[in-house]
Amino acid sequence: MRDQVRRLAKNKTILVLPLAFAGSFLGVYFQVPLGALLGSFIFVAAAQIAGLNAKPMTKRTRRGVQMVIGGLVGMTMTHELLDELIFLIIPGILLAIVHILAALLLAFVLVKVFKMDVITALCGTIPAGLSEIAVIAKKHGADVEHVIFMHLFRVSMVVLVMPLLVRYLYS
Amino acid sequence: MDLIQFFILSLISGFIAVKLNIPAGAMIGPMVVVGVFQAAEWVVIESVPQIIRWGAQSMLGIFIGLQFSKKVLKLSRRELLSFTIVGLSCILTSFLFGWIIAEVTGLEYFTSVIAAVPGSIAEMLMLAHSMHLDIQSVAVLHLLRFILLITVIPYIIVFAVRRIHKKIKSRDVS
Repeated sequence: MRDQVRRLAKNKTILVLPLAFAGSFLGVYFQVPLGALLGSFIFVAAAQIAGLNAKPMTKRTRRGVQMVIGGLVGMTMTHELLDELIFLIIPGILLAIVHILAALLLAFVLVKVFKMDVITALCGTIPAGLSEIAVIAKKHGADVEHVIFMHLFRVSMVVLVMPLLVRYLYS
Repeated sequence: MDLIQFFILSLISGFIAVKLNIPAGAMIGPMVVVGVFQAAEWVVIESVPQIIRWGAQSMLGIFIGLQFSKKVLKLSRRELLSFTIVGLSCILTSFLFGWIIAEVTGLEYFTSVIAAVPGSIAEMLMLAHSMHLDIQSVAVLHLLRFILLITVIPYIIVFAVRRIHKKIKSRDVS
């Protein structure tokens, strides 16, 4: 038990968790769309930028949370899932194609305007999971730090802006 | 009882999907297994406490937040601008591609927009859920996109690397 507490303190998890819960509480209290996520994200990111320097969570923890989210989504599935899957296959492929084209176009802009190297620009603009892209980027000699920053900015902006924008337009 | 069934199903199916190396298996496994069990009424999980949803959302926020560091303050204006352009273009393309998907499929516009967001699957599923949108369609479209991209991207990168090496070689020769 004491070892566990010591490990938590070393990872600064002991500081991160109360911060995150305070942020989440405020997000939920003020009924911000996706408030629990936005609140904890803003509080933790601000603390990190201010110099908290806590380590990222382990893969195992991340997977545990993903399993819970997967289960929550699964609970909303109905017996029409298979029909829907068949109906959405072509739009899904179309969506993947337009995303790839958009990523290529954006990479081209980054290379021409910001003089970024091609592989870094490609790895940074392609919308797939950061862990998968980071492996590919490392393998092909891209600037991994830049790639991580590009994905981080993309995810952060999407998470910060989309809920507010969609809620505003939706209502 | 609901909660115990929920956790057992989610964790076991997630663990198996990860072991089978299914892309994003930790999320897809429970989604499919809980979905199938629920749809077939083999197990009926009526509700999960709201605090579990908030907890999951909060953890997602922590994951993203912890990726930040003091290094952000050292980024040049040029770098900041280029990264911001990447982020903004994602938001713009989500609305544009969402409109295309809505036109093609007849899905509700905001469901299509959330389904067309490039990346952030878990976050967008939580958003769709919180806004009572068609979460099933969002999940299906995100998963199709993710699996296709993960399959195709390595080939695109290898193609680009080969082209660059070819260019460098021809320049050296000349």
